[in-house]
Amino acid sequence: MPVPRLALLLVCGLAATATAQPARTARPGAARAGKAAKIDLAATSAALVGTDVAAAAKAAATLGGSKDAAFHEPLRDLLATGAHPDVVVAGLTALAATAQPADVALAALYQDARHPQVRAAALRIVLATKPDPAVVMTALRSFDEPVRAIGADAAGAAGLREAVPALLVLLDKGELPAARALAKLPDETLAKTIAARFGIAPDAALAVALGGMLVQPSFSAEPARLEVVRTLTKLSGIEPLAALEAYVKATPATPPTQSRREADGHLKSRQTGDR
Amino acid sequence: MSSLRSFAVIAATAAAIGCGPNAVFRLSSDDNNPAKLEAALAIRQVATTIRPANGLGKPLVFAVVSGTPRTLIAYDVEAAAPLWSIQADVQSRVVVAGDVLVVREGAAVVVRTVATGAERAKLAIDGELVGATTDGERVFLVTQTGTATKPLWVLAAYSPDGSPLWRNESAGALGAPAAQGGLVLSPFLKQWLSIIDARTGAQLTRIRGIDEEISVLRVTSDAAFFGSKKGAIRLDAAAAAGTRAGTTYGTVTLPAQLAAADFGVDAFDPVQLGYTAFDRKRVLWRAQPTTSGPMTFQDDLIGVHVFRFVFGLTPAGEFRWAYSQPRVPLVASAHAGPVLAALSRDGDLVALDPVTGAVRANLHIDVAGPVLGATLDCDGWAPTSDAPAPSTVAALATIARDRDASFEDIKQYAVSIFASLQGADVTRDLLAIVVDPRTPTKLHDQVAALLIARRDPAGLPALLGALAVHPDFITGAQPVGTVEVAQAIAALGTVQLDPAAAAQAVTVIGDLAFDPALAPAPRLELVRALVAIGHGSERGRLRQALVLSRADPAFAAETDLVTVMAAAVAAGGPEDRELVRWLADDARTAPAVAAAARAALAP
Repeated sequence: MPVPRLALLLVCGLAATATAQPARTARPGAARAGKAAKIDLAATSAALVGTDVAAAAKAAATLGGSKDAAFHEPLRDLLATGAHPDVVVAGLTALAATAQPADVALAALYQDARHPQVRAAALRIVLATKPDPAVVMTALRSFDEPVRAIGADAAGAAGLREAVPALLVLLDKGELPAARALAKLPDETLAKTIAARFGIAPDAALAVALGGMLVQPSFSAEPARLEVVRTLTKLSGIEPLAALEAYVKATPATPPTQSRREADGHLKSRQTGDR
Repeated sequence: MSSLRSFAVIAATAAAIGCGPNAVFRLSSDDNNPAKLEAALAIRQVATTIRPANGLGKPLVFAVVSGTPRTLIAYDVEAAAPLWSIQADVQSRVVVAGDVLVVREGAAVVVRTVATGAERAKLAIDGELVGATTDGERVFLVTQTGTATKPLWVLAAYSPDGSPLWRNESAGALGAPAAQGGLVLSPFLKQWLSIIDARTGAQLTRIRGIDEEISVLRVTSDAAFFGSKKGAIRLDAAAAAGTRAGTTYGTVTLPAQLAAADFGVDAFDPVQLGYTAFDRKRVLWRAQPTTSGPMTFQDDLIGVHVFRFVFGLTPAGEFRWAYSQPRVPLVASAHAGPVLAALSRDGDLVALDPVTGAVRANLHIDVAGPVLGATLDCDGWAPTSDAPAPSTVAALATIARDRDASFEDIKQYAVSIFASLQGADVTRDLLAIVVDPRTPTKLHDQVAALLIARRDPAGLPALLGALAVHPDFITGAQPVGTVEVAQAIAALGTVQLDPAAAAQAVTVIGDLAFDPALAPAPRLELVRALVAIGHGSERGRLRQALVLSRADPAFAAETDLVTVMAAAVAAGGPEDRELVRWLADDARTAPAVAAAARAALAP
């Protein structure tokens, strides 16, 4: 049965906007004939709306992965009318690298979806386009780890300082995406705050956060670096050693610095000892 | 009546051996004789104004404090200072009149001077003490002696210095006596009230309770009453009728949860010779002078003291006000006329306005241990604090939310009162009880039912406020009481709501209903609430959720939710029904969702 257009208009204005895009004059694949020509649009579109979920998911990934925006239209129609979560996840995941504004608008419909993978895939697209702090915070508060990871990535990428308290809570729970996000917010005060969670947050998460911060160009004050290095030397596990290695590798030997010297010395002692 | 048969046998036996009871306490007598009663009342000296019984003429509290030995404190209420304090093995209530204080201490009854607490006499107890009293000029004791098969009760009078004055014996049970202005009131076999000349011990007259037990006596500065735990007859000329209808009789109708409160001390209960838990459940009442019955209560109100709480009620049991004593129970209470006085276990003395419940005085008696009980000789105490009347809602909320698990009946009573009140505060307080995880299940269910039944539009903001908390992994927050709140909002669907408030409600409910972290049960109730008060404005949100989730197996598994949503959309216009028809027919729609859509379209 054909999708009732009027009914779709009722579903939501946003979806309707997306599905009501004016028909493109260019044939799909015309702009990039080399790769696009390999996609059989009719067959893929048919699979997309079929009842075989696996085939539909594969078709969604194919269409969404195309850099030719014209191939996204059948996927947008699908997303606007609802599909099995596996199909939606495949489509949105593929769109993450290729999304056009109309795709983003449709993805936004799914940012509150009940299925966590659907929500994570939708948020990845939405937050990559516009890291709305409110949406980031909502993602961080989610009870679904994949969604929190997307929120943390977005907070780090956008440098959202207001997300720091939430990221620190997640750090305490050992969530590495939060640690990586904190690493992207280099700041002497924040470094001390993170270091003070020694014994509270898992060592691996602390190492990722502090080690990541240590190699940020803006984190250049030697006293702060030295403090971070000394904290890393107290941590157990492979992650702090990896962080110190990365720091030594990224820091020129000259002019010599105490932080690099201590990092290097700690690594050598572990190499000859108990690493 | 087995006690009467027993008495008859004993009396007959005693008469046969020639040493039985004298003429006072007999089965046959000239009962309910109006002329004799009038003559007896004529010699009674009663104050014309309400005033304390003690000779100092000022309100005093006599508090018994736990310890080894116990401490008896006389506290001057007007001076807000102790009058005296002594250590004594107090084993009974303290009775005061004039300058005489009578109390059982150890194995004896001790007579003390009110002004100083000094001992004036020590009276040995022959047998078991049933009760002791004084009219300020004499001391009267009732004791039980004899054997189990041949018990003998003795009413004896002494001077305050301990000299015996007269003595009456009875083969039938005598209760604890009361004395007033030259008369001794002695309940006999729970059926008669012997009125005895305090000077001579002669019976002046006797009243037989025809349809009311006589087990409770109460003497105030201006009147005397007799009756049972559930009602009282004023000792006036009409009392000769002996019936409730023919006398100045008063009773009250108490709510079931407060029904354990008594009109007074049971004169025949040996336990109540001392201060007990019975003193924490009292009807506090005072009668207006009347020329004919029935009894008129002062201000047409009574107080009901139940442990930590005092309620102001009409005699018909209608609620007027409530007072909650913080933390500890009130161990003694009395209607003093201008105020209701009550003493807490830790020494707080409060005076409550009988009409409004406003706190007119709040004093503290320094005590070294818990107060076991007290005699509040405070008739006429009229503190002048002009503190405003407390918020009824706040007082009830305090009671209902009390952490003490001992008073579930009282809490339920407080909650039931809420049902008759209106306003956002009421809804907010009820909500606080519902969402408190420590609320016992029975109380929780009762409050939730009230919340839903209220249908108070003024409470909508408070209900929406309860939905402001979303599941939050960072803070660990979880919405609480969402099902009950949603049901309460849904109940407002039949009530006219302010359009702006309704629109806000649709937004707030929708935001939480479709929060992916919410559990199915609250989500279902929230969607029901959305449909109930949305009146169609919610359809856009429902359409979107229904279409985008139609192929999600997890969504399809929430059958009731899908059914409600499909029905709500199908109840819209032709385009809505077209959408539902498409959902029903499209192959990608999950079977359960398609079935719900078909059902929604069915005529």
